[in-house]
Amino acid sequence: MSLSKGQRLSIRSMIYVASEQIPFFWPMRTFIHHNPLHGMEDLPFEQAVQEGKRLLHGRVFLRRPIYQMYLQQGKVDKHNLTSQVATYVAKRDAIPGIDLQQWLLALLTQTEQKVIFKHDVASIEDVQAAVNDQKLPVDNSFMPDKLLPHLRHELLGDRPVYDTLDALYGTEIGNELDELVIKSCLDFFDEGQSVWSMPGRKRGFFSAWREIANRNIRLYLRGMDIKDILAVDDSPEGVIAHVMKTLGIPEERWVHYFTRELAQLHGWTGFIRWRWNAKNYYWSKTHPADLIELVAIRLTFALALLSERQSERGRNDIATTAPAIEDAIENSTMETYLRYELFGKTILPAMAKRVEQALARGKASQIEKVFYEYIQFKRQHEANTQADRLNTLANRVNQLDALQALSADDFSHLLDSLRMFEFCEGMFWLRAMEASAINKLLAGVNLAPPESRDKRPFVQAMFCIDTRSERIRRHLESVGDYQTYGIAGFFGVPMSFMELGKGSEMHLCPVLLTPKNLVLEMTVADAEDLHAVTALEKAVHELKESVFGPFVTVEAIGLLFGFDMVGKTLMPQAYNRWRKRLHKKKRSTHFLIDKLSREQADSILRTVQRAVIIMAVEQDFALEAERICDDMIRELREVALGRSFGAPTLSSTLSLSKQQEQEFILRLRETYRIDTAYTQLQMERLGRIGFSLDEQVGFVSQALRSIGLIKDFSRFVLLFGHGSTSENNPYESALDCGACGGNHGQVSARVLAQMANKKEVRRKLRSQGIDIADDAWFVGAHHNTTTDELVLYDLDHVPSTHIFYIDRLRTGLLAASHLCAQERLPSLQLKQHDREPTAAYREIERNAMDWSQVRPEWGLSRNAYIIIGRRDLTKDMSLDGRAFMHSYDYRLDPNQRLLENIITGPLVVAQWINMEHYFSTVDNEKFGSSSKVYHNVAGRFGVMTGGLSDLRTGLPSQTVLDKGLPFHEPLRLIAVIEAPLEHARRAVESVITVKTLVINDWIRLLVIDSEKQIVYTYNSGQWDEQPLSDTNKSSLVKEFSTQ
Amino acid sequence: MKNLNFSSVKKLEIILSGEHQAFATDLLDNAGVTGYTIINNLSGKGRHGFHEGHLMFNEDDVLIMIIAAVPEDLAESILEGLDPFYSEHSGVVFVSDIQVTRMVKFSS
Repeated sequence: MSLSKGQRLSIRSMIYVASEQIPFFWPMRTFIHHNPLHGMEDLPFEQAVQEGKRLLHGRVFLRRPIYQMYLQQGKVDKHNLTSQVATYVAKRDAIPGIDLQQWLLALLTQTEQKVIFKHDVASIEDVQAAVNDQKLPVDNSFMPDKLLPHLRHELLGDRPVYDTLDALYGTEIGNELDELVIKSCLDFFDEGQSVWSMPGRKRGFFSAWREIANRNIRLYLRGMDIKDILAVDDSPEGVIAHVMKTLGIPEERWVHYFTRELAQLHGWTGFIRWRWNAKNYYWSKTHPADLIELVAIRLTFALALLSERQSERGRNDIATTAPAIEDAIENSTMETYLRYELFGKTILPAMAKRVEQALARGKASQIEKVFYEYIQFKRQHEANTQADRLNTLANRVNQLDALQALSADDFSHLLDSLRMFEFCEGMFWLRAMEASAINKLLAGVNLAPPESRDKRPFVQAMFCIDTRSERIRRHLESVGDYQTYGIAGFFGVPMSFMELGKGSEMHLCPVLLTPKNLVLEMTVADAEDLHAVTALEKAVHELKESVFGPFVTVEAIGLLFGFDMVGKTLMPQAYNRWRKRLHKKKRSTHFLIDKLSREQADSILRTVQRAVIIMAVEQDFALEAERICDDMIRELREVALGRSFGAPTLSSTLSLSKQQEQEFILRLRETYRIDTAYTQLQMERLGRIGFSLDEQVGFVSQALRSIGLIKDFSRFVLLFGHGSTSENNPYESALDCGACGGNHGQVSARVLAQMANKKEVRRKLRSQGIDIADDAWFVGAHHNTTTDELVLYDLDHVPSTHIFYIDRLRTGLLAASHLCAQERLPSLQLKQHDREPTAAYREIERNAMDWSQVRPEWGLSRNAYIIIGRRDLTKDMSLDGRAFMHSYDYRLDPNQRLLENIITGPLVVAQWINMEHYFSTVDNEKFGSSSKVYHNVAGRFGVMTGGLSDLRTGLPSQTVLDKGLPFHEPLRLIAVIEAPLEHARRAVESVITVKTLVINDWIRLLVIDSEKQIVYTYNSGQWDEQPLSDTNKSSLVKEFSTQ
Repeated sequence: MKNLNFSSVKKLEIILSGEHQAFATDLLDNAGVTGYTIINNLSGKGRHGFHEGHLMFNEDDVLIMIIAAVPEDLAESILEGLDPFYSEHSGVVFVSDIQVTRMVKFSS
């Protein structure tokens, strides 16, 4: 099959578009929370959940009895629920004798089961007859044609052909297909877990798979003609076009068809989609793969299985293409319907055997007979079931007589109203739950202007916006004169970080950013082992001894100069010994945050190139170290870099011919990479190290302004990063800092502290109006969210004037940790329910180290709010660890730039986290990853349930459920911005993503104008205004407490 | 002055949201385009309102422009390839006739 370039590119584009509805799946080492319906955020929430339900087959709201339980517990605003029902009723035509409002409230609050029963065959008249306990009207006119729309809707459209076949013939191709695809994925994407490694992976997914599939005897023996399909075209696009045409799918439906195929194993699709996008991911560079290849592999297997099933049955009359299915629906409607009932598992058990027998015999006359019997039977069943449910509800509201007396039209209206209502029901509950959460928050806000203070606070402490910070902040504020702030946990400094002892970079910033600056971790220089033998060690040693020593770590050299390549290829043993020594005990470290000067970079580069040349000479000519002199090295370097001709010293020492000399010079360039282009690249890489002074000033200024802290700095300004500690937990990263790309946050904290403590930085800040007192000292710190321990870093740098206060500071931090542990202990359901703070803290510490603990902490579960405003706004209330909090003072942000940044970053990330929790809770099996107990790690990047399954996405049940019931209360994020309406509105308007999220109701936005004491709520396209006076607050509280 | 040898090629200016950058460059790579220039953080007005180009925390949200100069037949293939994308997303492609001196740089 030959495709033009344009057609090939068009298929790539179609698959890209088709995949957008499937959420990304990040490798679990850096778990990133994500809205599973992110690809549908351009639709209103209400529509998107229906689309998500259709595509991913998941439930999108809680089951009714759980909402009813919430109603009992006061978590649903009854008034709101009633008024939504009233609004719904007002839009429906009145039905004589029926109090629809009463019916609907009874349906919502007293009925567990759905009232509407899906009836395909029974008519409204049938149901009405059953309600009145009459015989069904005689209907001899039932024509099979009536079933055509139903069958077309169910069996055609974008439903994969094999899936339809399974539903008509019980062929079970779907399961086998998934298994084959998963096995292929596991082989290819393995990141070092499997002992066997698939050959040819460097060439890409499709190519490596094709190689194996073509020679797979097992598949061949089973009669699967993969080889024939693959022979059609070399490219995955060509194979895709071939299969789609063979299946008879018209081209205008391809995108939707691809989406359905990709959604079948959405975890794997999400992972490959992410990997395709992550061009810098190590494994995607070495083993490239994209979704076009996945689709090609899936379709090839699907087509092969379809033909296998056809030949296995020895019959050619089963429909294995879309036109053949269409034909079966048109021309063998009765048989197709019965098949779909039987194999689609909707058949009424009482008739299952007879239908099965008739279909097996295949005689048209018998099928027809059974068909009419079945239709009659089903009609009666549907009518009775529907009638029972209606009668039960009518009895509840004492209106059975009225129901029975309805005219045919009114009866039909009633059914219609109930059907529509149940369709929208989830939204009613959700809005009423949100109303309750909003009221609770508004009842507690404090609008009083800040009190003036006569002295600065003892400590100012910044914490991540993470919901877990709310508790510790509250307790810290309660134990002394501590002022706390909320800020994104990477403190606004996107950086790549190279940890001591690790040869790779970590991105410490939200995944939405690609950091441009690199920070190196360093130790204070140690005494080196002077018996170093290899050239590499000499290079490192030389660098350390030189004035630039402190600037460079061996890891950095390795990464920047490709020593890993040289080392592993040329002298593995020595190299490994050397690396192992580097990994010895970790010492006290600090960070290289300043840019190198041109001279420093030149010198580093020269030293390293010299070391590489020495190594090359030793390696290629086995020349003893004593005979390698400086001149020889200098000449070689100059010639390799094209700055001179010839290397006379080397040639004369070794009596090399001109040709041998030239060959070696070429090797220096090509194998050892001593050439101008690579030197340039290395200089660029060195240029990434550190931040310029202006950048540092910019980052510190932005961080401080964004939280509204520009004066009255305390003696201690603590910057808390956060992270969790737990044992034996593939999801550990999910509990770490999302703002730091799923890593611990203390590095970011320490880096910003280091910047803010610099005299030059403070001098420049002063000229920008941020006056940091001379005795204010920034300290990087860490909040362990599993144990609530608070740890200070870099205390050896604290000025001596501050040392007297450290004890008081530590006591305060410890007290806050104990109180926080005491508050959290009951929710962790540990055996000991000791409520005394110190004992609670010890118990929580023990729990973190317990490797059998499936729930080390509740993480971000129960998140509900994001508050962007002053701390004073919510200081007087406990938000129960449910709020993301970003400090913000609109008075310092006249042009809304700071607010725009807060809403594009922290707000968007909070919304992802919120939606991931929402969907993982409403359907943990489909959108979550079910129980951790059955998880197996797949390929080192994900988990599967059992030995072979889709990659499990979302959160495990242990994170969101408690004994099978939701622990997380699924709400859309309630976002509060404290600012004048116009100010907030302008910021939201200018950030299109956020504007879309608000307009499409993915978040509930509230703007609190504390000067006017008014709250504005965005509701279906308009701003509702509500005064926040005390009287109003008390009525809200009353409303809440009467539930 | 030396006589310059001009060749006609098409210039494509592909404007799309930053989150689709990897898709677009992948498509160009697959088309055999040998080089392109990417301009980040565009500001400007389109059907969805005014796009600001200064966002710090979210690179996916800004508009970008990818500029490539390609032979005419390749330009057509690329436009055909981008078609399914632009039927779902906002953005535009400008196509213009330009001339280049070193043709060898622009054909694979």
